[in-house]
Amino acid sequence: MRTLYERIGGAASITIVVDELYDRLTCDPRVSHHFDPARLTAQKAGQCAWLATAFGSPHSEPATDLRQAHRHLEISDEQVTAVLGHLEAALGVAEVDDELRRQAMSLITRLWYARVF
Amino acid sequence: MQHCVFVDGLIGRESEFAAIGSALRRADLTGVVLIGDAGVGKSHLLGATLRHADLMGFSSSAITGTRALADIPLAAFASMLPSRLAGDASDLVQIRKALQHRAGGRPIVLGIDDAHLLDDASATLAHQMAGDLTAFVVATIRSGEIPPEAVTSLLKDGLAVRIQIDAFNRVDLTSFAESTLGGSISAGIEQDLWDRTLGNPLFIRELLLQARATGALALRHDRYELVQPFASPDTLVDLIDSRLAGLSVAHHRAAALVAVGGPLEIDLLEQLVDPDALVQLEDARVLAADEVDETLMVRFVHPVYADATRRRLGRLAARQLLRELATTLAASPKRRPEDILRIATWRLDAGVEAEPALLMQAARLATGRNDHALAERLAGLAFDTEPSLRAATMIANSLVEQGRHGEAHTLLRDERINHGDASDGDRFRWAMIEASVSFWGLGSATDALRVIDDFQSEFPAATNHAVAFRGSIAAACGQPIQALAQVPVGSAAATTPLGLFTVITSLTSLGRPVLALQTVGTLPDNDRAAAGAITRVCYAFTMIDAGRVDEALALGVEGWERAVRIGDVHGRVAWSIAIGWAELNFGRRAAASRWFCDAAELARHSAASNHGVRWALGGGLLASILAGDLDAARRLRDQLDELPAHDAVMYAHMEWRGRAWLQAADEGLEFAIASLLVRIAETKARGDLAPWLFLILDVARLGRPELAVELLGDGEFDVDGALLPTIVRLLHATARRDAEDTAAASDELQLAGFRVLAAEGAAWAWAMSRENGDDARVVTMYSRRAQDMRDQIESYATPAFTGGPPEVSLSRREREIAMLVAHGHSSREVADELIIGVRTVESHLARVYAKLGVRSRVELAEVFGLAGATS
Ligand code: HEM
Ligand code: HEM
Repeated sequence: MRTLYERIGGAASITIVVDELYDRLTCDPRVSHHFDPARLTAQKAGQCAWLATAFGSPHSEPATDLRQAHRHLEISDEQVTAVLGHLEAALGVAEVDDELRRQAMSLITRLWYARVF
Repeated sequence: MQHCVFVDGLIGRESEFAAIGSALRRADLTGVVLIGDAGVGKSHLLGATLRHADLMGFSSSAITGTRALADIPLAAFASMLPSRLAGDASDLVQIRKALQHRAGGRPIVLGIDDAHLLDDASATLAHQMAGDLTAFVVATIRSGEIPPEAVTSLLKDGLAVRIQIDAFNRVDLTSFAESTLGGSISAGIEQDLWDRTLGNPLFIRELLLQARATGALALRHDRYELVQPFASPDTLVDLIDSRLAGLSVAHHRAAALVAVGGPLEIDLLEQLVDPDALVQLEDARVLAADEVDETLMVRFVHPVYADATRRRLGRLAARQLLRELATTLAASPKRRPEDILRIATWRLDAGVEAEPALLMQAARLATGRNDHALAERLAGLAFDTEPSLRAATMIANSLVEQGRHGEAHTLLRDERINHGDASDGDRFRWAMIEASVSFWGLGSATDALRVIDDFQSEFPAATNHAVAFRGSIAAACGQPIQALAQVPVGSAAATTPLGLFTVITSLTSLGRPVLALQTVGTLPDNDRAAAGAITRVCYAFTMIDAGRVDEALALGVEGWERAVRIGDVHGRVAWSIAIGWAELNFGRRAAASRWFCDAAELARHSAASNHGVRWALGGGLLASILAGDLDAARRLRDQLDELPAHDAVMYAHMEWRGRAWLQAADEGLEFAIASLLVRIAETKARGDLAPWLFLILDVARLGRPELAVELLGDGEFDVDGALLPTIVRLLHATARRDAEDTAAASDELQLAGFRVLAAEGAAWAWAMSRENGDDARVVTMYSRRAQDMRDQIESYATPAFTGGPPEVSLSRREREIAMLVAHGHSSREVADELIIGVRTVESHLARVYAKLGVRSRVELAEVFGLAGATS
């Protein structure tokens, strides 16, 4: 079976998703204060790499550890919902169809909660 | 979770629990399967996992497989629906909805306890929900049980990993015991516990709690000590006795009958014990009944109880019970033909003589059920009373099936055998087994041919099968021309099972897979005969050579599942090898490795014959080395070195090639080429063309395309199908450095399902076009193609890949910079972003350009598929 990565449209789509996601995150007062503007580009690159790996890109590097990446942050439930919502919207902007979007969100939500399992 | 009887917490199961957590964090998995013996605590671990998941923000749901509901579609999920099952496809949708509704956006963990008892529809639904990421599945399976295919395929598809739950070791046992009691225990108790329970958590717990309740275990100075010995030499006897306490002699008798006889028909039992006693035992949760093939069968609720009851039963009492069972069943009006097997076995165990005819009949039934050890025993007893050739042949067959070829070989020459009253059929079977043992079992074509010669000189009439046998040996030894001379297409011998095998194998090795498939047409669907079943495997191998990899995969999985279902170990192993070979070419080397390993392990444990072990290990070797896993490859090569030789080489090219690739890594290219050249000469001399071509292909893949073309020679050779001619084309195109033709060949390979080779071809085409100084746009096009094709396969460590694409050759920093530049950032911006100097950025960038063969930022963006980003 083809990986989510392929079905979503590979690196090109992921770049679109991440650009859109960060545009949204930096405008949303619920979460924007977490994101340091000086480091946005690097974070976006990291985010691209992480998503590519999570979706099963065949030659990705070992992924960033989610728990490690957020260790220093105080994140509320509301903020998690907000970020997940933006991600879902961003997938929509990249024209990922409904079923794929559901699968992608289901996977990412699981990985998010599993980080501290 | 019906037999979840343990205390809370995870004492002694920390590492297994951690393994579940790691799986949950792996994006490529959507489940785990916990496998272990009865009473080992799988359900408990599952329960603890689900509780913890709920705490951590997941939404957990649990279903349980039960014997009683195993035949009712979706029964396991029924409780999740507000209304009753509709019995149609809408149920699937409703169940899914119910789960998702309940989760309300939280990730779902679906627990399946006793998944081996799940009904097929529930198993399929669970598999689907794991596959489309709806739920993460945590399933438990009892060791040795065969779960529904959908559950097995979670593992086979790589969606889930298995986590073995073993009995506790000494250290875990102590902490488990202490947490059960809530206090520490003395070393003496620990030893005693170990001796009695061997670490089975259920045993431990029941033993401890009972001992504490009876006062045998007392708390003294903060530590539990044994004030009386644990009640009896066998804990579980006590356990059962305590369950049975207050019940009558009739109850004991009923339990004992089930213990010695295995699950028993209710009719049979009711003739021997008071039906009320059975009802009471069911109430006491000692016995349970479920429907099997429309008959109500009575068994213990837990296998542990059967074991314990058997152990407490005296030898004489057991014999007496068996005798009663045998007599009653034999006299039963409802007796079915297959009951002969149980009657004979019970009589034997009861020490009652049985006549040879009955024993032989039972032995045949046992063979039909793939219980070869039992067949050996039954036929052995028949032989002792009457050493007929037929009995000897039956024993030999059972021995062969158990991989004990040496013993079979000796037995077939036993002087006691009475050849006198053997029929021609008996003699024929005897000779065929002898020949099969010599060749397939012991690996000697010469010995096998001698047996056939002797037989033929005695029975010149019965030759078709013998002729086919000779042909099959030549075919398996990679001598297609000789084989077909003996078994010409269309001859009578060619229609026998081994004749079919000969024809398909020979035409395939001649490089004519399409002709082979046409010639045999559709295969007879014959499960029972080894030769018939194995020919289907060969058929799948032929499809692969014909460039129909996806079809071969489908056929393979179907065949494998069937082999598993009917307990055909040989078929299962052979299918695994075929599937592994297909997957390896298809670009899923991890799955390929799993199939090969599975095959090798099973083959080693099931039979001493090493042709299958060799091919499985050879495939594993090739898969490991192509994955760049040198350690695994070396290990497999060493294992291969230890195997005795075998004349059958039909799938040995994987081993030869794997060895050569490993040599290239360990000793240098020249050594690898030299070994390949030896095999190339051998295969050519035999006319074994398909392997010959694969070997030559590897000469090119390893970096010597010109030599490869030289080896092909000028002579025309006739190969057919979507694969072999394309390989020839690819070889010529690469040697000419013709990017366009190489790419065209690669496209065809892609269609043939040889996606790894296709991706390598695409990578070559890209490299050539770069070297040839093609226009940047052309290079870019090739680069996109190469990367697209690579994206479709797992990573393979062959020179075509390790030399080219950016994913491999760019360092982390280089890629970071390339990515930023491709996104349209100036060097200055990149430098600021990464807090490094502009000159450092520029020098990294220069290296990136050189590696990717691009000359500008625009081209760089194109390589990353970001055309337009820089404007
Ligand atoms: C829901 C799923 C989430 C995923 C998959 C995710 C993924 C990631 C990844 C992969 C990184 C590392 C990027 C890099 O390599 O630099 C990251 C960083 C970060 N995430 Fe998340 N994240 C998630 C939720 C959240 C939430 C809810 C917040 C809080 C509002 C958050 C805030 C951040 C911040 C501030 C960083 C930058 C940390 C730093 O570099 O100092 N993330 N995230
Ligand atoms: C692709 C893989 C395999 C092929 C094509 C193959 C082919 C064959 C064939 C054609 C026979 C003779 C059948 C007959 O006489 O009826 C045979 C026999 C046998 N094979 Fe395999 N085999 C394969 C794998 C294996 C494996 C992995 C094992 C592992 C144990 C194995 C063990 C045996 C044994 C024990 C026999 C002897 C049976 C007898 O003497 O009747 N084979 N095999």
